[in-house]
Amino acid sequence: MSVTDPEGIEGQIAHHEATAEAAEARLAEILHDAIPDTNPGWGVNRLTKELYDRGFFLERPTDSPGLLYKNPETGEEVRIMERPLSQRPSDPAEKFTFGHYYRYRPGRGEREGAHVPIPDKE
Amino acid sequence: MSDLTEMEQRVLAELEEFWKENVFAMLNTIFDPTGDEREVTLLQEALRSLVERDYILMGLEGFFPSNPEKFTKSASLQLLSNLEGWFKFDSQDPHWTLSKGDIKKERIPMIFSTPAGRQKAGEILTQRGYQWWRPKR
Repeated sequence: MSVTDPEGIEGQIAHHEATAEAAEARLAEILHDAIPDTNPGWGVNRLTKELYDRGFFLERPTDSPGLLYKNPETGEEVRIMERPLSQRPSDPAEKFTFGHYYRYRPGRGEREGAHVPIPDKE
Repeated sequence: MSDLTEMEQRVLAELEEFWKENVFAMLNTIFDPTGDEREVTLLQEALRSLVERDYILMGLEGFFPSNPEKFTKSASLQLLSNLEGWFKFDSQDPHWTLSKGDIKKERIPMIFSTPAGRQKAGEILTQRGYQWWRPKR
């Protein structure tokens, strides 16, 4: 049993530390399937520029609103998708966090990674 | 709950967002692949049943450019009759991949959902949730 007074300074510090740890753990979960060596703070424009710099090409718009990028040299794929208009309870929350999300596939034939939110930028 | 097998439900659910997927990525997603040839057989049986029910069609696609070619129902079933010949297991980085040639260059078998398949996928996801067979992270 904890003897720390939750209303005291130590209790408040412990509370904030626990909150920060939980936030870091959640961020690590979300970014588990992110494109390697990218910054999770990048918006769509910065992320797209980075893809072109790395040898990706825009292949085509997707059936749902979004764009599919491919790297012919590495076999990597990235789908940058707009937030869907409707949400079913089973949908991953990351699809609806911001205006866009992406999914990264490290090689053709490999499993596509989970949804990664892309922060909104002006 | 559903008239579809577990494998058939997983395949349809995976097609819900992008409407198509290659057979290797599909197999590596609906299983944590071990290299057991029964994994390919189970996928093959599920795909055959889904074509018969008009939930999917098969086809071929390149990587870049993709130039997708969607097959008729009968051609889809013909492709599926020899599906196992396309697969080999990479035990270094455990996953199923193309048996011959460079997967970045070859045209490979694709799964395309039909409108009926997408509707069914929506029902499955509503009931079972996103990738219900994978451990929650």
